[in-house]
Amino acid sequence: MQNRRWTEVVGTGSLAGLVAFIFMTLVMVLLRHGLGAATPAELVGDRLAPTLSIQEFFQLLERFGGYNELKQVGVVSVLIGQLAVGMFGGILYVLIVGHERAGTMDQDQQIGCGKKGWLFVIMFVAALWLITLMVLWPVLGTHYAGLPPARATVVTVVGLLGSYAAYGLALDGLYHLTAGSLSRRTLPVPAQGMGRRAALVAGVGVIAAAVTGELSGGFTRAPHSALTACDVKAQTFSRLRQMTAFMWLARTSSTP
Amino acid sequence: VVSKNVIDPLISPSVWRLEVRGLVERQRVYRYEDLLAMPAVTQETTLECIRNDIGDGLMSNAFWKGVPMRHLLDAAHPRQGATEVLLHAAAGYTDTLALDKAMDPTTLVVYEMNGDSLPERHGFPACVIVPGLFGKNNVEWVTRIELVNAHVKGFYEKQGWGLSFVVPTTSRFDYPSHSQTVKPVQGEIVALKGIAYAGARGVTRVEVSLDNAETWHEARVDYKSALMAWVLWRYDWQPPHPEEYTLVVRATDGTGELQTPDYRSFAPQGATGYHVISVWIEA
Repeated sequence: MQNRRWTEVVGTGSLAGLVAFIFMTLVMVLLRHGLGAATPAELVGDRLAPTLSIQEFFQLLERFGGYNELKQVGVVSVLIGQLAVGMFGGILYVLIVGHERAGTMDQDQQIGCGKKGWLFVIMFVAALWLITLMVLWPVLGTHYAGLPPARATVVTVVGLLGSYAAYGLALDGLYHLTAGSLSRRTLPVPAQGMGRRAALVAGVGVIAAAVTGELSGGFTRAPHSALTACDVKAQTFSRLRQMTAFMWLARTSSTP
Repeated sequence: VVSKNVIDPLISPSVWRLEVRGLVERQRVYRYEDLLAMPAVTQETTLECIRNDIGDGLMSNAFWKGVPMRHLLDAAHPRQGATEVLLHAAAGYTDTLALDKAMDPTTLVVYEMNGDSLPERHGFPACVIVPGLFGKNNVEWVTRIELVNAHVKGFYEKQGWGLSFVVPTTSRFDYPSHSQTVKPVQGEIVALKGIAYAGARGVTRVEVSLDNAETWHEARVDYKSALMAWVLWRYDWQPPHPEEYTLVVRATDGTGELQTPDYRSFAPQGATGYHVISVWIEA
């Protein structure tokens, strides 16, 4: 029974965190695409590259097969890191907020944002934001549409806050959708009704992932891209794999 | 073009601004149209990547049109004590130039390349061209020219590149290539061809050796325009026997200094040494 609860906490939190991460990434991509705002996936590389020695730099180039390949590894690593933090935040949210609320509120009260939920979201988002600003401070003056450093810094700082806020809002909202279906497990409802909301959340995540993938794919296929041309088939396959992972996670966390 | 970016900037001219600030009496901000309206010069300049090894091809030549940086600096009235110029790019890249070099009339903020607007990958709407220094100093998508009174390490300099970024004199064979087998018809001439480049010093002489640097023969310079641009050379060679030859090329710069034969890897200050190739002459 205890194991079951942990599975639910991890499953629900991970799913909400995962989909919230996708929303955050979508906002980042939109800001990058529309306003030229720099994303952490790009800034982290710029922050780290000058700290490497020439030898380390060339060792990495050799290891990953070239400069473009190294950049892609860097971007993917940052995204994986963000995903991990996003899912961790989701699990933390369930542990701190969701578990208690599930026991003290009825289902209707769970839909919407409670004070504790908001507090957690604000603190978590603020912490992530401040840590990001501290780590990336030397490169915040980056702007891909041409603003000079001071104004670029403002755009980056506000853009990061907006993206992280999107994560927080999505986390809170999506968790309640997911948790609604889980809490019903204690009620005498037909098994086939269970997990519907979790599946809905996963579906929303799939759509958001597809939109994000399409937009970021547009970036990498753009003629001005500094990446090597991307294989469309590989992208499609990668997106299918993402969707499969969502569906698997949704089913794991919601199927009785 | 070697770019540090995952995705290069796509600059909107309406958003882009070029600031001149730091140790100046009057900060200036220029729009794209302001730059286009200023008196401009067109200049042929070769750019070479610091990673270009002996005989490699990370080097190219173009006609650049733009405004001498000194006009922008003069308009801002540099303060006493300013010694360096810190260049900022939209993509977060930074690099520094000595103020003297920035004030050189050949250091430009350019907006045209070979008669067209700068391509996006070459820094549209504006990039800095610094003749005689490696490509890393030629900052693309420049957004700020900041005068400072101390050396600030740039993006690659922090990794340990430098201290000097002055391009050493270099020359190379473009034909034939290393290990190539050449089969001239009886008595036919083999036209050895290549380029030579000596940064802002210019090339005055190119020589080739057909016997592994034992003796030297002056090559003919077929193309030579600006001091800051490469020259294209040619040597018509009639191989005496069908056998393997070791060919070497060297150049002399505008100061009269001969290209150094001492091999040095491209890290951290750019490669030096002669380009040596082996060719097989078949009967």
